[in-house]
Amino acid sequence: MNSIKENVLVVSTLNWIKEHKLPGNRHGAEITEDIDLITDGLLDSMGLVDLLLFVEEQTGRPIDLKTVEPKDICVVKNLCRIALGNPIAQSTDGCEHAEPSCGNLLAAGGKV
Amino acid sequence: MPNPVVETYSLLAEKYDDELNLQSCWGRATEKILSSLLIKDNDQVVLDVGCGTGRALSQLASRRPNIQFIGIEPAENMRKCALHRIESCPNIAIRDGCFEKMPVTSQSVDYLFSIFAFHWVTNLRASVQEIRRVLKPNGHMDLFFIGRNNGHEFIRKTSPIFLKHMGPARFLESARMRTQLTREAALRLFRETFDPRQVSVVESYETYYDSLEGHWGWWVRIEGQFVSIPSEARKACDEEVRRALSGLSTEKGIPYSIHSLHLMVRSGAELQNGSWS
Repeated sequence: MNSIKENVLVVSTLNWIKEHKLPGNRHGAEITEDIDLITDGLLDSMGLVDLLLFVEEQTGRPIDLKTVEPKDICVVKNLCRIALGNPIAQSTDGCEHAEPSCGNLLAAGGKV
Repeated sequence: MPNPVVETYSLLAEKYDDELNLQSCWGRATEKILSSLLIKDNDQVVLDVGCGTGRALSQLASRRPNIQFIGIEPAENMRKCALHRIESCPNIAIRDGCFEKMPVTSQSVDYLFSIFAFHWVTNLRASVQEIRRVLKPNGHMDLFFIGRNNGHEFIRKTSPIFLKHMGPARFLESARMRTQLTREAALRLFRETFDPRQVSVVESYETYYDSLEGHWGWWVRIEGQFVSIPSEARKACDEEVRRALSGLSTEKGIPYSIHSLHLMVRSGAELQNGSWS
């Protein structure tokens, strides 16, 4: 059984992102669990490395990057589920963004 | 295990001094730094770590024939170019090495400098300790390297593309190859090993504008770790990146902001006589 609940992990992850997000992005106030951190410019690759380390520290378990897709680690909701070993819901309710997520970009044939 | 960054630099050595590269934002920033280096009259041994093809060394050594210059470079073909360049300079030696392991006698260097190489180190603390080992107790140093917010315009546009083509594991692995410190982190790191009073860091942001082709000339160089993308995917990736960068275009050209950190270690004597402003 995981020692940390998913909703708690989501909140602490969002707080971490608020503290460490890149300057000058368009998300002045609201950062939600559904947005794509890379596509929306909140984090760069080094920021994502730091975020994964933070999440792994919170859960006490490593994330296997070889088995995940971009959308699994770029969207907080998905990342927290993966980090806790919980299955990701197949619905698209977490992907209703103004811009496509990394995963949707793949499906769209790579148009950026 | 071979270092992919070193291997990429070695592969690109022949093109390193092309006009396109020299006129790029990195070429211009490097020239500016080179003209700011201050070698003192009583310096006897000067060390350039990550000397590349030896451009800086040959310029400095031609003006200071009585000083012994040493260049350290891990990329084999870069060293070959440097050796060719310095054939007629008896006061320059080129050696194989890196920040973590320098083939230099302890406490033998009066002045150590490095231009845009320190962010490639694989072990920060070992590198700082090695610098400490080779510098004379009264030695001084100027390290220039890129900071945490370097190239933010490009990164924001290209990260989703690289993530898509590389996949999470490769994408994050490439991020781990480079160490981009904040000013505060750099200061903390060096103050662990050196007398804190002797260490200071100045950071700067300078935006360079260029054409897409102008930026593309150096893009391969700095992002050489992306050679891990399979060749078919690489072509598609390159096309998307070029399209994304074109979208940044302004009247002045495509902007790229270099976040540079200049870390200085000044000797105790300089502190005492107040010559360090």
